[in-house]
Amino acid sequence: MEQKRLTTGALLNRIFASRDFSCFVRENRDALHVASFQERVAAHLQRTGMTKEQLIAKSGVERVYGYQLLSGVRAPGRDKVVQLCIGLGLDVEESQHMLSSAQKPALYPRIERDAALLFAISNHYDIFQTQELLHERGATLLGERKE
Amino acid sequence: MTMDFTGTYPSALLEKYELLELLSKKEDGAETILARARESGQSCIVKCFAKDAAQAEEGGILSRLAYPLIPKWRDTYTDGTCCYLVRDYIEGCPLDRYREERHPGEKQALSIAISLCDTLSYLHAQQPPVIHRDVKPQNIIIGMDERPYLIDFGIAREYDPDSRRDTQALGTAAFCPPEQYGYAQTDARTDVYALGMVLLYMLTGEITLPDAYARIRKKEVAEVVRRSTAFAPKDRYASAAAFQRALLQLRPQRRLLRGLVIASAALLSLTAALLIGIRIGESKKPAHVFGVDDAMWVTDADPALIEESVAYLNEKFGTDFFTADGEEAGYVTNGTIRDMGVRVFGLDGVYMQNLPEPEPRYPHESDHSFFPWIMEDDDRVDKRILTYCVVKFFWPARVGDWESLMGKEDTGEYPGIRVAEPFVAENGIFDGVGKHDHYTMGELAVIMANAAKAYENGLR
Repeated sequence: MEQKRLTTGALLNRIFASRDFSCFVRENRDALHVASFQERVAAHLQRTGMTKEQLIAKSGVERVYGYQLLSGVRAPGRDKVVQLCIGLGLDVEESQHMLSSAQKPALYPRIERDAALLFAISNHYDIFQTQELLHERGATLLGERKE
Repeated sequence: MTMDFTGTYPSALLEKYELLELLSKKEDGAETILARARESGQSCIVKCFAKDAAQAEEGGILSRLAYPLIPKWRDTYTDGTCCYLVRDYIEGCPLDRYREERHPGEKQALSIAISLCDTLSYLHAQQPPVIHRDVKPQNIIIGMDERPYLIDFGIAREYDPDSRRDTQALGTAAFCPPEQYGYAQTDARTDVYALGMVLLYMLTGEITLPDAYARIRKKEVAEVVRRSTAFAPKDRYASAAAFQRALLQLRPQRRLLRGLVIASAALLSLTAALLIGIRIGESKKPAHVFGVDDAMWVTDADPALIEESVAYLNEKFGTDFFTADGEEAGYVTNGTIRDMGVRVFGLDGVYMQNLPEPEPRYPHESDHSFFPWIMEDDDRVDKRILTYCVVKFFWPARVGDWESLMGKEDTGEYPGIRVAEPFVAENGIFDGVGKHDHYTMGELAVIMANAAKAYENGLR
C-alpha cells in the first residue's frame, strides 16, 4: 500500500519523537527517498492506470522523444515536464514536485507565461486548451522553445 | 535591502522580452529569470534587484565591456525601487557541474584557466580596471563551443587607486582571497587568487588549503597553483598575464617543444666542447638560456638591451606588460600579441579576437578583426605575423586613426605584410634580436622599443 505522503513538518516531528534513528529510517523510508523524475512519472502512471502511449498522446510530445524521456534516455526540458504534468492530469502541487524532481525551476506566478500554465493546470486544461491559452496571451507555446 | 515587489515587471521590459523561467531567487528578493527577446528569439537573462543593492552596478560595468567570453549587456530598466538588467544567456554548463559530469583532465583544466586569464586580462586592462571579485566555478559557464564564459558581475568593481579598502566585503568565501574580507582594496591579484582556486578545484575537486595542494599530481603544476593562491597579494602573480605565462609553460606540447630546444642547445654545447677540447660535463648553461629542466628557451638579445627596452616601454605606455626574459618568460605567442593589443594599445578585446572576414582579399582589410587569419592563442607567433602586428600597432602614430587601415587595397601605402617587411628592415626594428622564426618576451621588448623609437624619431 502506498504510504500517504508526509509533509516536511510531520517528518521533522517524527525525527524528534524517534529514539532510534535506524528504526526511524526503516519506518519512513518512502518519505525519505527523493524520487527521480522517471520514478514519479511511473508512480503516477501506475496510480491512474494510464499507459505510456496514452500519456505521450495527451502531453502533445513527439512519440519517439516521449518514450526516450520516460525511459530516462533523455533528460526533459522544463516545457516537456509541464506537458507531461498536463498529460497526467496533475494538480499544481504535484506539478511543482515533478518540476523539482526533474531539477527544473518551479512555475512562478509573477511570470505571465507561468501564471497561464498554473491557471491551465489548476483548471485541468488539456494540452490543446493550454496551448490555446498561451497563444491568446502571445506567449511561447509549450514545446516551441529549443530546450 | 529586500526588494519591494508590489507590481509587475516594467512594461517596457515585458514588451521587448518574454519572461520564461525563474532560475533563482535570493533571500533579499533578487531574481534571475530566463527570458527570450521577442524580436530575435534569442535567449537572455533578466536580473532583478533593489536599486541600492550591491549588485546594482553590474549593468553599468557590463555595458562597457565587449569581449566574446563575457555575456553581452542588452538593456537596463528601473521601476520604483527595483532595477532590471538584461544580458545575453550563455548556454552551457556551469564549471562545477561540468567537472562532476565530464571529469576534465589536467590538460583541459589548464586550457580553461589559460583562457580565463585572457578574460581577466581584458577586464583588468579597462580604464579604470574592472575587478570581477567573484570568480568561482558557478560563475564560469562552459559553453556549447567548449569555451569558458565568465558571468555574474554583480559584485565586480572598478579599481580605485586612491582607495585603501573595498567598501563592501563580498564574494564567495571559498574562492575569496584574504584582502576581500575588507582590510584592503581588491585588485587584479584578487581575481588571480580566485582563478587559482578554481584551477585547484578543477584539478583536485578540493578547495581546502593547504591540504588540497598535496592532491595535485605534478610538482610544477602545484607550484604554480600555490603561487597564484598565496596569502599575501605581493607573493602572487602580479597579473593574469603573468599567471597565464606560467600556465603556458606547464602544457605538455610546450614541454615537448622546449625539450627539443634544450636538446638542440645541448647538442651545440657538445659539439663546441669537442671542437675546442673541453671535457664533456664541464660545459655550463649558456648565459642566454632560461628556464629549468625541460622548460627552457633561448634568447639572443643582450640582457642589458632587454632591460633598457622593458623599462622604456613600460614607462612610455604606463604598463607592466613588458618583461625581461627570466625563469617565467617564454616565447611570444599569438595570445601574447592579443594581450598586448588590449593592455598596451587599448584596443577592443573583440577586435583582437578571431573574427576573420571570409576570404579577406588583403591582410589589413578586415573591419572586424586585427588579425584577418585564424590564429590559435597558444601557437608561437612567427616572424612575418609579428612584423605585420608591430607595424599595425604603431600605424595610428603615423596616420592618426585606425579607419585609414580599413578597406584599403595593398597599394604600398598601408601595412600589408609585403609592405611591412621592407619597412621594418629599413627602420631597424628587428635590430639586436637576431634572425629567428620566433622570439622571446625579452626580444619582443627590444623589437617594440625599436619600433616606438623609430616612429618617434621619424621613419625611413
